Amino acid sequence: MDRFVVSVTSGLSLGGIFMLISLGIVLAYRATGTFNFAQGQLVTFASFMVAGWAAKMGVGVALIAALLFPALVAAAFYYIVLRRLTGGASHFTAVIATLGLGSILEGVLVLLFGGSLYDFDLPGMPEGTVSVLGVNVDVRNLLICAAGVVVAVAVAVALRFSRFGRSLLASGQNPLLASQGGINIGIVQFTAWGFAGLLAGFGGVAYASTHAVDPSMLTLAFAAFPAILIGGMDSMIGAAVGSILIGLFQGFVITYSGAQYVDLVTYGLLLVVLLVRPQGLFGTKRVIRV
Amino acid sequence: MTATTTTTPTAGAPAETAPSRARGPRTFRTLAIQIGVLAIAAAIFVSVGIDYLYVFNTFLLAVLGAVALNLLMGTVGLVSIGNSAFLLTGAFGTIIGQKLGLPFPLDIVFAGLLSALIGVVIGLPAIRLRGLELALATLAGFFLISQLAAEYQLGNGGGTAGFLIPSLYSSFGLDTAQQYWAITLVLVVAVLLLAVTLISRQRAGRAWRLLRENEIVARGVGIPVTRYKLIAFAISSFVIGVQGSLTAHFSGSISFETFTLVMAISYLAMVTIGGFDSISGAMVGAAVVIGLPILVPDAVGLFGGGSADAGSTAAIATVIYGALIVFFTVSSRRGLAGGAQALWRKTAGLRRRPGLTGDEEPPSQP
Repeated sequence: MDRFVVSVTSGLSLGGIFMLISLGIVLAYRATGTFNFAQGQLVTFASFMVAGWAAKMGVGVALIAALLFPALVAAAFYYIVLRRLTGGASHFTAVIATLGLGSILEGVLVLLFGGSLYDFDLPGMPEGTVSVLGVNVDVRNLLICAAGVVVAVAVAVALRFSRFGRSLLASGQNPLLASQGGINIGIVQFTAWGFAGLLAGFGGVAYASTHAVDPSMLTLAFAAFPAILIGGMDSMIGAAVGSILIGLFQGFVITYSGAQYVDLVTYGLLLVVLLVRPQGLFGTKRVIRV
Repeated sequence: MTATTTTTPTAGAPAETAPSRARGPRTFRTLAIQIGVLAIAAAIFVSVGIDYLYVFNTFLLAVLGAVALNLLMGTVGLVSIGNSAFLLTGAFGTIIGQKLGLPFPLDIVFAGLLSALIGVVIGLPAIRLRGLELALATLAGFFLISQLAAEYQLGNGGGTAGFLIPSLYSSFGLDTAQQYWAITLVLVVAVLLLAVTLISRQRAGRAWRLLRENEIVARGVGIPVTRYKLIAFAISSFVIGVQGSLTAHFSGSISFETFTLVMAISYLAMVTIGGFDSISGAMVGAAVVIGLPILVPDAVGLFGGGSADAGSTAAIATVIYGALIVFFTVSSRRGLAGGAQALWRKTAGLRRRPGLTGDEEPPSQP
């Protein structure tokens, strides 16, 4: 029973991390149809900024920098690179460009922060443990999951019910029709990418205030991709559900089989999903008929 | 080649036969120039000395992977970040092959076939779909193969340092070994260039380019799209596997930790820098990417940064790969090779008719 509770709580914690990474990817994907391979690096960057600079520059400055920097990078990336590539067959090229962006961020990250480990305490963060069914659980593990759920719900609601959200969905689904309907696609997509960057910043801060920050986070971030694929590439709710599923899955594998099997199971699952249900649980099926 | 020449008599008009007659020899002229440049470079590097010869051999190994990835990304239009996964498969395939008792050249073939097989297994679910899914599948493949290789290495006497195998030609002494390697690798690369040139100029190459440009049309004219994609993926995995096996023989020690995701991205950089669907481009890209880490410490010193240590050199190189990828995806799909070609046309454009495909190297190169 203890192992079960540990599995669930650590799984929820991992799921929260994946959620915070994948929401930004889905948002950007909905806006321009570009899968952003650099989102994990953006989140990691934000974590390092807030954890590495808090002692040097004060918590406030570090927080603002960590939230705004990914937003600026993502918006600038859209403006400089994607704006010229979106549409038609160049999705392929755009995806390669995001891999390039990830590579740049990773290199700069190593140059700025090295391989060190940073700890960060967000003022006002509750600490200690709570007892769940007789097992002591670090309260912060549950907080990151809650943060993920709150952001997921907020973004999903905003997309569905705000005017901007509907413009974004429209310009993602059919840019030509949307532009004819009076939507300024450039501005909508620019804002969406900036907002996806902001989500990365938020995810980074949430991670840093609940976990120790070190470069292994980069590898952890890749597990958000299977989560997105399981949920369905273009569904906010799907990304949230997929993240929790992958998180729980990993939690159980770690507790019952050992940490060395996590990668095998996670990425094996990705291949199985591609084979069996490539559109994911909540995604839109792409039908191409000849 | 044969397909082109047999269709021309039906076309009949002299205006059309002239360029298509010229196309055959020109294909081989490009190939001859490519191989000639490599041979001359090999001769120069052999005489320069062992340090640079070692780098040159590393470059020749990288050309194998770059040409293979270019076939997949440039010609067929499939994004893959699986280079380091298949390199790892090839390298460990050699270890496994040798443990099975396979003699020297056979273990390389075994490694290549193993890599192709694993490529098909990984690619099969994704390849029915569009490009992005294959990128994700190869990413998954990287983590899977890396984990399996780690288990194999720790469980079969590799330890944390990795497997040691007697590196080829090592009995001749360091200098001579590197010279033999240069000759061997130039030959291997020449065979690969010949094979890729032939295959991508014939029926398969036309099918690949058509399905890259428009998959629906390709289906419409009766091309078995999935089969052609899978064949391309298997070929590229095979070549990268052979590269991995040769790398194992070249360096003499193999550990799963050397094959990183950054390495896979550097191959993406080679193809993007050189220009998609251009064999010459892949070679130029490989030269740039392999040359960068060697030039970076000097460049850092040039800007007054003192000498960079190994860690920051790697990080700076990573930044530069990324920047080059972004720059060349925005500026042009045709990369350096395309740019050089455009320049050649601009300066000497009236002397010859523009070619049909992007794989021409300006003959002005040394």
